[in-house]
Amino acid sequence: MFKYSKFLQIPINIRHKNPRLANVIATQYGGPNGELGASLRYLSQRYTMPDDVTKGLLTDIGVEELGHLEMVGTLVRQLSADAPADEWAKMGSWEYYADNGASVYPQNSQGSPFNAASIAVTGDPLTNLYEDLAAEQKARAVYDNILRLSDDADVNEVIKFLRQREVVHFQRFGEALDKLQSKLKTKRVMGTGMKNNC
Amino acid sequence: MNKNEMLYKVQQYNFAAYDMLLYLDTHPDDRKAFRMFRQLVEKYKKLKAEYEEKFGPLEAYSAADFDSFNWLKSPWPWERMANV
Repeated sequence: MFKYSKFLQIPINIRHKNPRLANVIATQYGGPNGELGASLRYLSQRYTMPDDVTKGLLTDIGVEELGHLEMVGTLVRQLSADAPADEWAKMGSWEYYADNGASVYPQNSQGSPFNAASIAVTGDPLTNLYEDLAAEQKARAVYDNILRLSDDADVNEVIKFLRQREVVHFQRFGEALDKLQSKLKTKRVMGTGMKNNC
Repeated sequence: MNKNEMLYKVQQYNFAAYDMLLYLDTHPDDRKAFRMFRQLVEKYKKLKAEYEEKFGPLEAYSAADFDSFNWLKSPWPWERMANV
């Protein structure tokens, strides 16, 4: 059962409108390396994980990613809210505005709607964790790209925070992988991961 | 009451309170509904606290009420053991 808390992980207060930047940041809402995919990936992988550490970690990180989804949505909203149409024409994406107005829509920066093909859920615990490690690196790399594109200090403070969380998640997934691997090794079923009751 | 019977009570009151929440979202001035909401939430909180004290945390931060970190203990909600 999920419960909603009416606050963000850190406060977000963007002073300058920039619909163009909103279009770019929206990719972390619904793009291939974004927060929606991240939460779905972890929360879906949980069901077949073999031990309490991985079940718990995927639950807790998956939930945090849902919070990050809301934070990215907040960035997109604050960057684009109340921007006049001519500002969208000059600074934003006409195409995004035509379909969505100043809404927050799960798509990548080029307009493709969210696609679950960007996440993998295999049923193999080790494969899942390698997928998760890669996903955290990819999300971190996209935040790095955004930092190079953006010169808005308010935005960058939030992006740097989200980027750092990817690094922390990568670290935790690495530790979970190490633990699971040594467990599987002692049971001599390394690599299969299935039906070992560990 | 055994563990799962107690959990079922928690689930029942949590659901009843949530259903009331949705009603209040569209009827925020309905005092009678608000009183029911308060009663249901109060009962839910009480049952949840009793369950947690006996059987462990139902949400992550409740694990702070124990002497050691027991958040990871099975069963998880999608497992049959949590639903019998």
